[in-house]
Amino acid sequence: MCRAGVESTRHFVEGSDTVNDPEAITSDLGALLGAVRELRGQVDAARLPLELPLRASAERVRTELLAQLDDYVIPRLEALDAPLLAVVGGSTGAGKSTLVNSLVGRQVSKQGVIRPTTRSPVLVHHPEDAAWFTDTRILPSLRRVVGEAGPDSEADASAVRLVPGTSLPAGLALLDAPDIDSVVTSNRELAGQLLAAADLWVFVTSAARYADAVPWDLLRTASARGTAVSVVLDRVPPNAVDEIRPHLAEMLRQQGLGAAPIFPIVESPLDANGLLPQDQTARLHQWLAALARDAKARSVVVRQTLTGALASIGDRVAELSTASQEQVQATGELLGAVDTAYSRAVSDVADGMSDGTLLRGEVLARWQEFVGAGEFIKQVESTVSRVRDRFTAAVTGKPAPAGHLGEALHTGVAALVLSEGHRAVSRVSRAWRGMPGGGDLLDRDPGLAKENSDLGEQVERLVRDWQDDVLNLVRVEGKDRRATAKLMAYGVNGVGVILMLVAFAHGGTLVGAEVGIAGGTAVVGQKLLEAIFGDQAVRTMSEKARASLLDRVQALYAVGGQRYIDAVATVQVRGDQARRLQRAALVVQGAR
Amino acid sequence: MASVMRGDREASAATDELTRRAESLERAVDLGGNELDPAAVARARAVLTRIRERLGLGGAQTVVALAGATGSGKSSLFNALVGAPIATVGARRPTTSSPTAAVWGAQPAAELLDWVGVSVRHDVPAVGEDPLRGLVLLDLPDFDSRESAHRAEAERILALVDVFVYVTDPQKYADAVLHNDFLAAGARHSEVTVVVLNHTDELAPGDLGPCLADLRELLSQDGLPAVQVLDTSARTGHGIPALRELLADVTSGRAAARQRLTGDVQRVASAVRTGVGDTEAAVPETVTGQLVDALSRSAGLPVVLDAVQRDYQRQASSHTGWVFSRWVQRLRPDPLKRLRLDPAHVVDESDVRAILGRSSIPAPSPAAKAGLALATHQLGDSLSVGMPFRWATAVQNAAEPGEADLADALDLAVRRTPIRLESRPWWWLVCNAIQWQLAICALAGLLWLAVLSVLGWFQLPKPDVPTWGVVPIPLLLLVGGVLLGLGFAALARPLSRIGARRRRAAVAARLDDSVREVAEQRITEPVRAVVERHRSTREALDEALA
Repeated sequence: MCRAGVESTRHFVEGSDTVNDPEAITSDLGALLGAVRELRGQVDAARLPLELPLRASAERVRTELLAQLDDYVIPRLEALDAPLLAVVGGSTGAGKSTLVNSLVGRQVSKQGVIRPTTRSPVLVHHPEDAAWFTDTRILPSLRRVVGEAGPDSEADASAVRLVPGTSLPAGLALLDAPDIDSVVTSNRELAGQLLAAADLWVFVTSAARYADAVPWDLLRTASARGTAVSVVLDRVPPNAVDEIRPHLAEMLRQQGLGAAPIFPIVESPLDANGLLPQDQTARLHQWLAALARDAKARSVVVRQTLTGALASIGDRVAELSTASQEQVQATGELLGAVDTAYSRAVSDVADGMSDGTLLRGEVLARWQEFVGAGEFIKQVESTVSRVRDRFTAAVTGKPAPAGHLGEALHTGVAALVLSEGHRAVSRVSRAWRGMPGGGDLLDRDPGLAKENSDLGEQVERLVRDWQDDVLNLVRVEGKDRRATAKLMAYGVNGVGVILMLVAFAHGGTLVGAEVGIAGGTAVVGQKLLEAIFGDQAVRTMSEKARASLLDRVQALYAVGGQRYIDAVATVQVRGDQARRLQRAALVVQGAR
Repeated sequence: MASVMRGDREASAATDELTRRAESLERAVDLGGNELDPAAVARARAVLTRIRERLGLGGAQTVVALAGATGSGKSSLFNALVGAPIATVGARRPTTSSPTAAVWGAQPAAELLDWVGVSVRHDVPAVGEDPLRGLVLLDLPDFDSRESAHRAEAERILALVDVFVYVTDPQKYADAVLHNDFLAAGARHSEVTVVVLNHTDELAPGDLGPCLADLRELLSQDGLPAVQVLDTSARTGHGIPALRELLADVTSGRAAARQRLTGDVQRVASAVRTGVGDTEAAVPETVTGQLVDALSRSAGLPVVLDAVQRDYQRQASSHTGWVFSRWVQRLRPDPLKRLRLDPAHVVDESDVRAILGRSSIPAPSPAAKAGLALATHQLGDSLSVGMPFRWATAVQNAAEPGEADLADALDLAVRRTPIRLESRPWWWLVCNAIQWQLAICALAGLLWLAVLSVLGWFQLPKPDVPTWGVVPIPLLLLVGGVLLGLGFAALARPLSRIGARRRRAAVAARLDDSVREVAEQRITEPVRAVVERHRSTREALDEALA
């Protein structure tokens, strides 16, 4: 009997690589531990805030990786000689709790027919090893409950019950984990976490279960990560052992787990204490006891699982960093949409200002009124009528027509800037609606889909400020040269308005009929200004006037776009997150 | 016989209901078109095809599938029901890899089984009047083993069968696969689902009750609180008669196929329904003022109205102005002609198309253009509130016809609106008559004075000039005619200004109507069409779901 156990532990020793020194996980344990801690920090800091296709799976990877680093890798690296933790995991109804109870020799974990039976994990350890488990060295996220569970004790998935037992020698602790496949989601998650924290999986399945897909998915992971596994084939009908055991062994071999020992347990009536008959569990008990006593075999198991866990980090971090890149790309696209919408708004305003169309309609009418033209002047070029109009204006005390023209210009420019601002908002919110993560942001802050309530006021102020700029321009230019009679005649305001007008026609390309309407207006205006300031100065002034308006519009729209940029900033991940993660993983790989 | 009659009645009621729901679903899918989720539509169409196929195969037979996890005893149960070891039973998992069928009754089931795709068939020999007559029982491969092909095959067949019998056992009854992937997903099929807890012989006698209670609790969490649960043991034969009776009942009812398909319709309809909003924004009966305003400005109506006003004043002064200065007016161009809105060339649509005649209303200013885009944009946004993305996009697209398209329509509308005066106002004619009379008076006075002065120049005897007081009449005629003419003209000016304003308002109202009509045709109508389509789709889906 004893020999059987020793033989089985040798599976691990022989199945693993040739380095026999158990301490030789790395040449420099301190460096490795430092690298793993650094990686843990990076994984912990990694954020995937936007709801994107890769996020769900990457978040799970992140949580699992973080849990495994905390629960297993870091504590194990800190104390390579700590007792071995064997986690008894498997399907619901396969008899995990009965098995643990039978190994311990008394009822420590609840067993029954209601599935899933075990909801809170039970850790059985030798009293000498108590110190290793009472603190939060391993599984820091689970509270510790000490003492035997009463029949009515609450099932608590956030606590692990510590039960001392002398049935197994010091050096090995058994953890009865919840099931991996029942409808209770918290069980499945906790079981996954516990299995990731195991030095050794005691995988319990049953004759009805051994071909189930869910356990095999886990075994595949274990195989890929090189975790040490032993399999208990429970509840086997007495006559089916010889049929099922080779089948299971074949399946394990195909999965790359050929080294895992199989312990069949025949379905047999439980004794008065609800335990399996001794002869059924003896082989497993001895194997575990032998492993516990043999420090070398134990450290081989530890090393195998630890190496596997460290080796698996690369792929998992790669998935995280891919998801990080996806986040960075998505936020980049969101910001791109904002930039496109507002750049287009600025360029549309610029186009509207330079193609002369701003000078039509109301502005044109006011201009004609201003220069005292009406239709008549086009028929008989007459200075008389202008004199007459100015005379009547003086006599009747009507406001100078420059006021009307200025107002018309003001209204036109303000309407243009305001409308384009509104359109930019609308464009952004629509574009975002159709982009990954954009709808999410809009839902978080519904105000983003609407424009700022005081945009109208801001635009009014902008146009007023700009008009002040233009007047200043006229004043400064007018000071330099002798104020001519014409400047006096039209007043600074009048000339300013003409300058605005010329600015809107200047630099644009007017074609066909437009030259006739808008161009004509501007040509007259330009002639007027040139007569006052000279042509070079007029060109510079109109350039300055245009540039000043565009600058102001750009600044205003930048404020509008900032709302979106701020919203994106709340979900922005650091651009180098992916790189940091990968670098930290590489350092870990290098330190192994 | 009675059970056959009952079966016919139930079957025809079930068929009617199924047909009604299927038609509603088909209508919804047709109406919804591209605005529905393509994947859900594809599934809906597949279900509709399946309904046609299944109904074409007749309803005399009922296909019952035994589905479940590996090792739960589907094959043992199958054999127990058939009464012969047809299906392989074994300890090696998974045991069954391809489905087996057993057919009760004389009616050939070949076509039906071909459709379901089960090739291994067993005819159960008839023993007298078999209550299971018409039953086609299928033993399916498991759905939870690592052989993923088994699960695929089981899922393929489960999509086609009429009644689901989920077989589970005390070890596996709480498995996530069974509950999450099959039972909860089939919550709509409650009527045609039976859950069987097999292997009850493995439980201690006192454990069966709590176990079944727990299973029922899990089932109601899956959304199947009313589903039938049986406990059986293929080994001891416990519960088999009850299962047999249940199957006999289901088979003679002959409604299972329709009920199952009805469940399918409801399931896909609710999937399609997630892509449809719960309400629609009410499309306003009248076009909003903001939109009309934006359209008017982009159609250049202020320019047109200015021209109308000026035209009125021009015409008024040509009637009421001083006769001697009217020639000056002629020098001014006709403002309406300049805009090519002269009624002299009244156009209809064909003319416009033929010569591409456009009015010469200046193109809209960028502010007007942006304003219009904004108004349609906001209309689209406000009417698509609460709609799923695809529908919202459809509404927004309908609310925003192309700029050129809209400009064309607006231009035509303005041109077809009569804006020139139909008849001259009476007071113009009165003023005109007075002005002419005054002018004649003045001319007569001038002539008279001229004659008198000529006579005086030639030193001829002057005829007696009548006087009014001290003022000679000819002078009175001349001065009075001129002064009164000027005075009258001055008096008429404010009147004509008022008239021009009124005229402007009248034309504005008329143009407003035209623009409103364009807005109605080009914007509101298309939007309303989309919204109505959404409503019809929603209602059809709700009918399919009801």
